[in-house]
Amino acid sequence: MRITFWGVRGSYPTPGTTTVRYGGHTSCVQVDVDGRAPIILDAGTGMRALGRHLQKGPLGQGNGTVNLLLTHLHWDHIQGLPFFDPVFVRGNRLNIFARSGRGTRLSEAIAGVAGDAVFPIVFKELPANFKFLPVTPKEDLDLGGVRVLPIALNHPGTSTGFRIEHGKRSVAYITDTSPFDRIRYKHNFAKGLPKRLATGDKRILEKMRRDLVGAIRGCDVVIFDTTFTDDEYEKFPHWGHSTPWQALEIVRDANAKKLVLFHHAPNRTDEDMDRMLADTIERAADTGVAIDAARQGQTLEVV
Amino acid sequence: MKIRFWGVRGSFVAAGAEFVRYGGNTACVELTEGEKRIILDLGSGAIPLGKVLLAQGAEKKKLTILLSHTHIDHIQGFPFFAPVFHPKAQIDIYGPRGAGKKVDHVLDESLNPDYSPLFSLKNLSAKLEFHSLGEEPFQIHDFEVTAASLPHGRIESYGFRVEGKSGTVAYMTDVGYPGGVPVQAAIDLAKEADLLIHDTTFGPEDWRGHEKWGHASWEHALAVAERAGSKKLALFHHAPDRTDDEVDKFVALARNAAPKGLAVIGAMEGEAGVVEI
Repeated sequence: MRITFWGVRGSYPTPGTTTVRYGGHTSCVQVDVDGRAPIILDAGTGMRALGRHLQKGPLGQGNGTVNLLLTHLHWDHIQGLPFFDPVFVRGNRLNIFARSGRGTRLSEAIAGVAGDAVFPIVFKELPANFKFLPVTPKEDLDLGGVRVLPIALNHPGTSTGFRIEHGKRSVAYITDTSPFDRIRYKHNFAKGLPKRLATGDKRILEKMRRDLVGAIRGCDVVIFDTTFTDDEYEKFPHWGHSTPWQALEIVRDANAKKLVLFHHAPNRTDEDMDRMLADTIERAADTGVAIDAARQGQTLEVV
Repeated sequence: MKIRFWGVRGSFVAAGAEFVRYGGNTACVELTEGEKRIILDLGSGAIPLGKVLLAQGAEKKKLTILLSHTHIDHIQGFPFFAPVFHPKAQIDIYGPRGAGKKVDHVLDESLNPDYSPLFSLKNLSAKLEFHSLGEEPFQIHDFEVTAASLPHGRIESYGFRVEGKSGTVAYMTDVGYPGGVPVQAAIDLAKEADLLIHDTTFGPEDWRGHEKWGHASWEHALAVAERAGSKKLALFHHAPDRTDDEVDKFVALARNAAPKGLAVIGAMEGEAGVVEI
């Protein structure tokens, strides 16, 4: 199993001199299992370069399949889709797996990414074949012998993590999510933390966390939303993102082997990222969890 | 008038070491004359601009934004443009109908709960006012603004002419001329402009085969500038794969082909790319 990072940034893309090493494109991660159609996690701006790359294979001939798993449909996770070259090649198949946050039909919500007010070509005119496959947390998918487990996360509008497993190897992709203790997102706009967390919500959040820990148990690699530093989190606890420490506690509880910091805040420079990584490695010293930070263009072999 | 480019890239952001000199953010240009200001388009370049504006206390004055059209590379900075979260800020947004939808409708839809944690325009703290663009000239602060609909693939994109006390700027992106022949409306907007900012997504060769994409080559931009008698041309809306060195080459080729008296530059983000007229 091989993981390639095409976009690692959260919220919006950040071109410029201060983000060259870690990369400025938003969420897009490729997971390859030899002999299987590529699995793509999220369709952020990193997806454009991935499309260029995949065109060299069967997708360039209109003879390829991609399984795209979307955590949610916020712009930074879908913006690359209409710029993914294989969608312009007749014969290609794109299976899109996601949950739609507000109950819109998934096909309609995705089509809005290329509505004619916001994109030069309307979605239904794209030549590739699209299949929209709604997912449900805890209900396994079988993608040609690769097992995918959707996991409910805690984010405005909703978000879904995924555990991807083949043979003895497993990778989890857990973004975007808040920790599970101070706010539970419902279908309304979050102005701030609730004054007091309702007992019912508290119980539901505890269960979500237990389910998440159970779902990623023993994973070789866990890619986790670590948007915030501790101080930033205290300022914006209702924004739906986590810190490296919050991620580390969950990964440690799950006895997973490696935590990869991901969804870097747009204002985080390369030097800031170096510091965040070094600091997390230090904090993780007693946990037995290995730490890395995702860089655009980086490949991780999971063996 | 001072012209600062905050985003010069077209269609898609270009993040990487080979794009850092000209810049990788999508369209956003700031025009200032003393304390007066107009912002053109809200591509990702509007995000760093918004931070600077708040740091300068610019929310105390009304901010005016002209949107050429609502394709994503021209509005993607909107939900991260810091003044929209400032309760004291007043923001006027002028834009065309995008595919029959009013600009506020398109922006509101882009914030719906599927796509954004903001859910709706209603949750932005600033006082937002929306205006549909027409063909009549109008005043913004002391600027005289003329907008004109230009062809952009299957929709229209508006070009702008902004006349200040010290000079005139014309801005036309994204525009694709049928048959490669500049339309009169573009030439009128650029008439004797001190600076013409023009879509140059393509070179003459790669425009062929992309005639219907709604974008121009630097040859078309030169033709507009020549016929309009513009004084300076800024190549703009650089294609997302065009590296800094390739933009340099574009600028050199366009300079060689330019009529006498027309200066040619490549639009560049940051202080280094500021143009004064």
